[in-house]
Amino acid sequence: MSNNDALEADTSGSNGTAIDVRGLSHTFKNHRALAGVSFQVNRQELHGFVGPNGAGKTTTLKLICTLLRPQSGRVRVFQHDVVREVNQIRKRIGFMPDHFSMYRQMTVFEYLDFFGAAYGFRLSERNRIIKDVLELTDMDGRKDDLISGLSRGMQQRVSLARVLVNDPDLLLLDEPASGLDPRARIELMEILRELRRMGKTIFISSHILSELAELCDSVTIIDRGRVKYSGAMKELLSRTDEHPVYKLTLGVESETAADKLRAVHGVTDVEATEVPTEFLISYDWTETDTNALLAALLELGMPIVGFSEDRKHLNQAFMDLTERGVR
Amino acid sequence: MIAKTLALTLRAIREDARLLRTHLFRLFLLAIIVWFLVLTQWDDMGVGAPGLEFFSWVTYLDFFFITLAGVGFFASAITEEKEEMTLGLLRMAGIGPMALLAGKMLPRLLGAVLLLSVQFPFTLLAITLGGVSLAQVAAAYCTLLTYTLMLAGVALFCSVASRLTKTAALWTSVIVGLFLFIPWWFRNVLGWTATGPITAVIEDTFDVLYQASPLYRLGDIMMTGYLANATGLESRAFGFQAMTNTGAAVGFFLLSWLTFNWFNRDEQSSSPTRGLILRSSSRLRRMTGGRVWGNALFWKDLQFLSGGPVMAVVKLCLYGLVGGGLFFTLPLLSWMGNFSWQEYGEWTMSLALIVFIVESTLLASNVFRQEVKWKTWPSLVMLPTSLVEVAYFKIAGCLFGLLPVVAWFCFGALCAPESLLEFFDDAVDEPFFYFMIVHYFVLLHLATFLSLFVKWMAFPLAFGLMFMTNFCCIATMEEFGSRGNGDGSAVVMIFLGGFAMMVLHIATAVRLQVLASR
Repeated sequence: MSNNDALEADTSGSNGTAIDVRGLSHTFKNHRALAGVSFQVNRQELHGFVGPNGAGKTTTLKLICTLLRPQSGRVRVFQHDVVREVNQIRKRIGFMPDHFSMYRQMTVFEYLDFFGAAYGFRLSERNRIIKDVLELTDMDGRKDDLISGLSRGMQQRVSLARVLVNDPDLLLLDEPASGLDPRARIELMEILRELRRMGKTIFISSHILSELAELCDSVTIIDRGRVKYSGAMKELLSRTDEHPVYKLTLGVESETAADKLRAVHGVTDVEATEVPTEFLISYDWTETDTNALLAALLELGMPIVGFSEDRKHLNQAFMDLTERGVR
Repeated sequence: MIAKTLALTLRAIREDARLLRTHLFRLFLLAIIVWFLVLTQWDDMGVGAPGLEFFSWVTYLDFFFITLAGVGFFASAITEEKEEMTLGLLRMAGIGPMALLAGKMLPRLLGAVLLLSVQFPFTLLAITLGGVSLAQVAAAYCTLLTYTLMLAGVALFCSVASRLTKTAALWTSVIVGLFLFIPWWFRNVLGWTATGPITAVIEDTFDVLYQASPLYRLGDIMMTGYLANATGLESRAFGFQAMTNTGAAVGFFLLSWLTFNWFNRDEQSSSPTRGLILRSSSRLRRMTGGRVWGNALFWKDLQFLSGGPVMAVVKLCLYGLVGGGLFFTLPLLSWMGNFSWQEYGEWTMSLALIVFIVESTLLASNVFRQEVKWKTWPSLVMLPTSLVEVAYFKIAGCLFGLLPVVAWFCFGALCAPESLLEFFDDAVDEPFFYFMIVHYFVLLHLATFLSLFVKWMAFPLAFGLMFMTNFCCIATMEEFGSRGNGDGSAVVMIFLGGFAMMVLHIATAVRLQVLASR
């Protein structure tokens, strides 16, 4: 069986797959950007694509969105081959690059209207689409503004609105949160959650794993052109030797809180922080899960004002999987 | 300050040295000169002074190239930092205006001088060929060098004062164009002589400007018996023209330094502006582009590259005013007393044709350049349509920008229909007519292709390369086989042009695909 036949056989019966990447390799002059990358992204899933700078994230994205032709290996998007069925793929995807590539002399409305027309929508359809995407991105109040006059966060929203104009099934977002302030990041993540609820498949690249942890269903970690991990986010957390760590913030100080927390089923360690009302709780994921832990903590009757995953844990997982040094 | 200037200069020289294309370009220029030398030596047409003829061609070619390429090359010195928004960073690093100006200008000047100096040993061989002396060679290079200095000075000042390279290049072209054209026009065309004390001052001023012109100086130097006829300053290699041009260069440099802070106090956005494109909320709604048309790509370039309907009206008025103004102030055409619509029509058509060629080449060099510059090209390539369609619809949108000049030409044709018909009657059997058409399309292709590699010099570079290549090819054709038969050369050149056009067409498509994935 040839390599291609094997790939063909492998991809059969994967109707629930939005992106199917198999044995992808790509070289730029003397630099090997990708070396046998394989992973899958299911439909209606929010998939994180994480790796340090120079890991090959953007190259993979460009191969998926048909801007580059694979040198070896295969990429299929909704069962369409990226080499032979370019137009079928382009109709169903929206790609947002990692830089602002916009016609800054246009107004927001003109910009979206232009892409609406370029995708072949009639005037009445364009009016509806533009209204919808502006509402979704909360830009309807700025539609007559020139793009050059918008802030970076606003421009990112317009960029996202543009990607949504053709109502794509798959969104490919290359580092969409880079350069945004915390508020703009949170708002962007909210929009992405909303899009997932609408049934879109979202493939989002980032070099910060913890940023995507709360958002993504699954993740692929890539480093130096090789996939280090690909699968469910939850499974990634369970792979690490350390137990998951959660930060609990209480409304009031309590001297007995630490002891009460240690007594909860599954909790392996409780550490007090510099802030008297904050505790770091480790738990054994084979004994319990996050929801059960939170329920048990609520049963203790303590005034809980915050419960979130400690980011250091995810960062450690990322550091363990990737190699030292910048490429 | 010297350390800072050197830091900038060394960085630029290193970058230049690493780029293969700069070396290839110098090699190409040198190859043309050597080829001319070979052709001149083989030439047995009985030219009295083959060395002088060869040297004249090389010198005027240099002058033409310095003027054309120098405008963009020098005018981008400061504006490139403004466009990249790095001027503020350089200033925050403690680099003052003087160090910045010197550091940005020196490597450019070195590059230009290098271009002239590599050819110098070969042009000395013109002396061996006969008809030209060492004094003439030295004086010609002195003229070219000092003219380059002056051009650099003017362009540097325009670069300091402008926000964008294209604006700086435009102002440099206007100033240098007026400097070269006005004194010549005053003396040779207007033929004006002083009748009173004020007019005498005006005449003297234009006389000084005329003598400071490198064109006048080169004409003098290329005359047989140059040294025997020259007196005073004119007999020296570093004559009046060299002195005034150097003085102007120093003056413009100082002016750039003095006004640097005034022009560049605040950092300005380099984003493209709408120009005369009205927004839909404007009162003049009829003059806006309205909603995007079904063919969005065509609409976009019609609006934002060609300038839209308002720009079209402005252009039409401008052409009419400038063209008409020039016609009615040129006594050469002797319209006074016997105005002829035919003469006016012929004049309008000629001028419109020149503007058409320049404007279409400018549009060709911008049609993809703007998309690449603002990184919008991948967004267009991602549309569910072929690259070919995207490219051709964009070009179609650009063609709208040529409507005003076409309308102006048509007006000229209406004024002189017989002249137009007569021209076509004569031209239709002439291979040279088809040669011109084919090579105009090669020029467009070349400008488009080069614009995908260079930042701002595609237009002058395409003109320069076309001129030199054609000149070289025609000279070669004349030398080999088809001497005395210009038609033969033209036919060969038509085929060569067609082939070049095909190669450039494919190369542009490949390059566009590559740029989309970057």
